[in-house]
Amino acid sequence: MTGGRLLVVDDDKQNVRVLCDIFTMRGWNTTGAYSGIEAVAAAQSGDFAAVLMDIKMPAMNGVEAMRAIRSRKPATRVILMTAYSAGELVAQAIEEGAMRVVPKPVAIPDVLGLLNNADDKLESN
Amino acid sequence: MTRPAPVNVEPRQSIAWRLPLLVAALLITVVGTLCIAAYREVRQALVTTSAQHATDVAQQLVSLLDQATQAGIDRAAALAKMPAVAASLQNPHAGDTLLGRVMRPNQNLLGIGIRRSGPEWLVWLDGPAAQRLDAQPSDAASGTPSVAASEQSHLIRAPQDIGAAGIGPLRQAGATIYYDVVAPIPAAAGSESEGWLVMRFSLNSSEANHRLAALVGDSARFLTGSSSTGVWSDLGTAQAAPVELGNGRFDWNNGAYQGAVVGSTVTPWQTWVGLPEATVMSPAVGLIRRMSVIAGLILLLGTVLAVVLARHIARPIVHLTKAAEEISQGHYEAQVPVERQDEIGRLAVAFNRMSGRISEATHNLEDQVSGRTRELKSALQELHDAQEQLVRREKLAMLGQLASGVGHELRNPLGVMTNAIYYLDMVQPDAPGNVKEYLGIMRSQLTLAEKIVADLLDFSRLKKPDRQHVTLESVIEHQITRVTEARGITFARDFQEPTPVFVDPVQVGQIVFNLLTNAVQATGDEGGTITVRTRHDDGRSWLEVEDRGVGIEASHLNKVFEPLFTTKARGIGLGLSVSKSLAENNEGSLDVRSRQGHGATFTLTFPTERSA
Repeated sequence: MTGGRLLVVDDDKQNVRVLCDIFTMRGWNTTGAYSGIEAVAAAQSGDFAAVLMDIKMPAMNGVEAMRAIRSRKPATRVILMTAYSAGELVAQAIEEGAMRVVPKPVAIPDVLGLLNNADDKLESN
Repeated sequence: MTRPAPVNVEPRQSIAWRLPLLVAALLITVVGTLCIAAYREVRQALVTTSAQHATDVAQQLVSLLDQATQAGIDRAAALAKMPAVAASLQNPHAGDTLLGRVMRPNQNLLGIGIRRSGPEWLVWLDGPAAQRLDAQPSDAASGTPSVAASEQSHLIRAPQDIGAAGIGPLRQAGATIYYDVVAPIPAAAGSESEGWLVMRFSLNSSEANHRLAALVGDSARFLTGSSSTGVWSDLGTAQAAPVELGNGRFDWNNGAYQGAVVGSTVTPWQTWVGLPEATVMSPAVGLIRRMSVIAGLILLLGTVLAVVLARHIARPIVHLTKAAEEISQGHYEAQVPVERQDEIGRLAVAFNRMSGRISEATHNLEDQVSGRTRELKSALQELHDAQEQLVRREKLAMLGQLASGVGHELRNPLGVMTNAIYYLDMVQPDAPGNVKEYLGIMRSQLTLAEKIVADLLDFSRLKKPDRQHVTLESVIEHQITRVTEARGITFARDFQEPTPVFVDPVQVGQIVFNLLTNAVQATGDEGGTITVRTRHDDGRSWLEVEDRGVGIEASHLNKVFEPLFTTKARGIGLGLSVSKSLAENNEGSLDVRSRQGHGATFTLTFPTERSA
């Protein structure tokens, strides 16, 4: 159940830090980014298996960033986080290929489950 | 509205009093006038009759007296012509024997005298009645009675009628009434002198008096007398005469009389007969008495009839007046008895018809007014409800915006903290017990905070319900599992047959969750039983959550569904408000009943689903 590289994106730096630490503890190689633009840049330079990204961010929101990342690297799995349980962005995110939109506060076991299941599927494939 | 005071007729103003009074007055006037007129007529007739009667009686008396006196005159005339008498003029005692003889049988004769023109008596002889003449002092020396001194006047008549005997007026001497009969004595042959024979008679005859009294009757009185001398007698004794006797009414001897005076052709006397007025008028008095009785009866009868008539007239008017007063006081159904067929009876019928119409119209009006009032009240209530709902919605909308912003923004730090604790748990599996305990405290507080945020967000966005066919029981069972962590609390399920509803199970689940959570909190740490009940009938289906907790103050019952109202130490008071909104969102309603200290029962009601 070892993860690959995980990009954690949120404009709340402490949240990025905590999530990174948690997922690192769970065997992921995590990298943090603090905005959509940073995330796109990081994804371009690195090869991330998955991206855990907040939707609501200044300048470039999570959905836009996902769109940019997936346009270059369509295989990148993106899990979006939101404090809002509904909205146009959520519907749009699902439509544009987000693996899941999880509500904040993020339930870590659920996210881990999602990521691992995806890995298993990939591996089995 | 001021009601008019009842119209009270003063008894003296009422018809029942005035009409009999009027009739009585009329009867008194008419009957009284008739009585007086009848009395006057009768009295007049009695006066006329009595005057005639008196005249008749007087004439009879005069006639009797005339006969008696005429006899005396004739005798005196015959005596005067006798030669012995004529001789007495020359020889005064020539005729004594003759005169004595003549005088003896005549009891009323006071005496006989002869004289010439002068006042001196040639001869005077006392008669049988002389001894009764108390006032006649006998002059033994001259043989001339002193009465002769007053004999001048009776000669006045005789010289004018020489050759015929005459009679003088009545005179009085003491108690004796007397009169003189005078006859001229022819001169004897060879003698130039002539004289008069005077026979003096007493009128004091009780016998004559009795006889005449019998003639005139017991009650009548009679007097014979001479106006010239003022001497009057009833032939028995001298009587005081009135100043002027005449025909008609007289007061005499302290009595009132109806009388008549008749003069005589033979004597210079007058005779008066008087009938006592009391006797004469007694028929009139009797008449007036009888008439008074009859008049009294007529008056009584008339007054009684008038009273009856007046009551007969006044009674229906009194009824009408009372009924009119009742109507004026709002008793529109007032009716009057219809007792007769005349004008007043028709008035009563018309009045009853009128009051019936008024009553009917009033009732209709009252019905209309009460109907309209009900409609207005109902409309007002609806308006009030709508207004309340509107205000609540506006309040909720504003609150919603705030809640949404705050809720979402809180979720981020909450999330970070949650994750941080997760991390600490993860990296310190062997941490000391107190560290783990404190991490647990933080976790549970974060859960609470998350719950508050969830409430806020639920409150801020009311999603369109995703309605499905479910049963209330299934929803309840699912939510009970969410609150099982409560200690010492048991849930009693009072279900009958499954209760189908057509609602959003998530939203209704949230309501039930809130109700159960509230019930658990109200029950407190001591624990207890919370009863969950479901029922349904034709119209509606409902569930009840009943706790035995602290209950709700009466003054708070209206407010528990208002947003931000809470009595809990913790919580922001949105749970019940959100629940009510969610219930209404699903065409249901949420109500509460409670008594402080005796728990509370929340009832969630939906329309019964009519399954095909």
